Amino acid sequence: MTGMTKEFTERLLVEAVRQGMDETTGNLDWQTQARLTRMRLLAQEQSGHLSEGAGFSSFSRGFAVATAVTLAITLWVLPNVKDSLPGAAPMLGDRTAKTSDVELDANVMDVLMSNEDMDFLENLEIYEWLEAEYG
Amino acid sequence: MITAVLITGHDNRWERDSHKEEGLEINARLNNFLREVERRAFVTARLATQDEDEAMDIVQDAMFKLVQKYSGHTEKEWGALFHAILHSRINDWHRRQKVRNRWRVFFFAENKEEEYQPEEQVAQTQFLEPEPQLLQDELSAIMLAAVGKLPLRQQQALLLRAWEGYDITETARIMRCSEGSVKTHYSRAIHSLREKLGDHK
Repeated sequence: MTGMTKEFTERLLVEAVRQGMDETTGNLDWQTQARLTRMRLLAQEQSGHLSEGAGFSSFSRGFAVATAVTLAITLWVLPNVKDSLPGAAPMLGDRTAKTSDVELDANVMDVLMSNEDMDFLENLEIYEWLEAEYG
Repeated sequence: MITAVLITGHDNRWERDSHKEEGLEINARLNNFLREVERRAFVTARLATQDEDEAMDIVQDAMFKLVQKYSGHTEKEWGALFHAILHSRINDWHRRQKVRNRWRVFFFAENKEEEYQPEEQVAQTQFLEPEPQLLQDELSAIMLAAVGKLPLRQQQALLLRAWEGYDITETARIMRCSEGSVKTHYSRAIHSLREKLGDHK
């Protein structure tokens, strides 16, 4: 027997390895085969999801770009439109910041439009002279 | 105008359908390919890990990776790609085992002798075969046990060359090493098998 194994050439060894492996593969039990089949199907299912996902992602990418462009144009154009509209109401976001300015403008206009105050302004030089003369 | 819209719609539909058919065709071909290699891959992984569950995990990883990353490649490339992934996973598993074993040795040094039983390993490799009834079956079982005990790289080189039928260049690519290394691993494997089988007989 030892003499026989010594005569094992590489070719015979390779053939024996091949045969042994093939037999083992052929003798796998049905549970193992079932697990392998399930894994294969899962892998392919995942592949299907991936390709759907790829389609969705290209669609969503396009949608995102379109949204971004629209938003950028809106933000760029809107302030100009607002400024160009006469008597346009301040936007909601600006309300807090602009309130004090608006109130100030209203006070100035009130002062300017009031007849009494206009008389006072017209006679201001006389009042200054009177104060300088008589203290 | 309406005709143009209809033509465009038809073209789009046709393109979509052809993509769908192409996808189905690739899926069918992938299915065939994986069905052909899954059992052999499992046996290879089980031989390398000596563990059925670990082998299953490795094969599953390899299948998923191939489908996920390389299904777009030509069918001819699938075999080498799949084996490259499979053997890479097996190498990773062995690396992790080495690290685990180091820690095990570090923490349970006193139990080392009890845990490591080479005879057990031989027994484990023998469970892979059903009860051999004929001389041929017995030889196969002995051969398998001997292959299972080869160092990993020798085992890989031997199986890829002798069983899967890859040439030296392809084997080197799959094993991610030089052709010279493949030759060395392969010839050592053959030498080792010859020795072991000689001892056994």
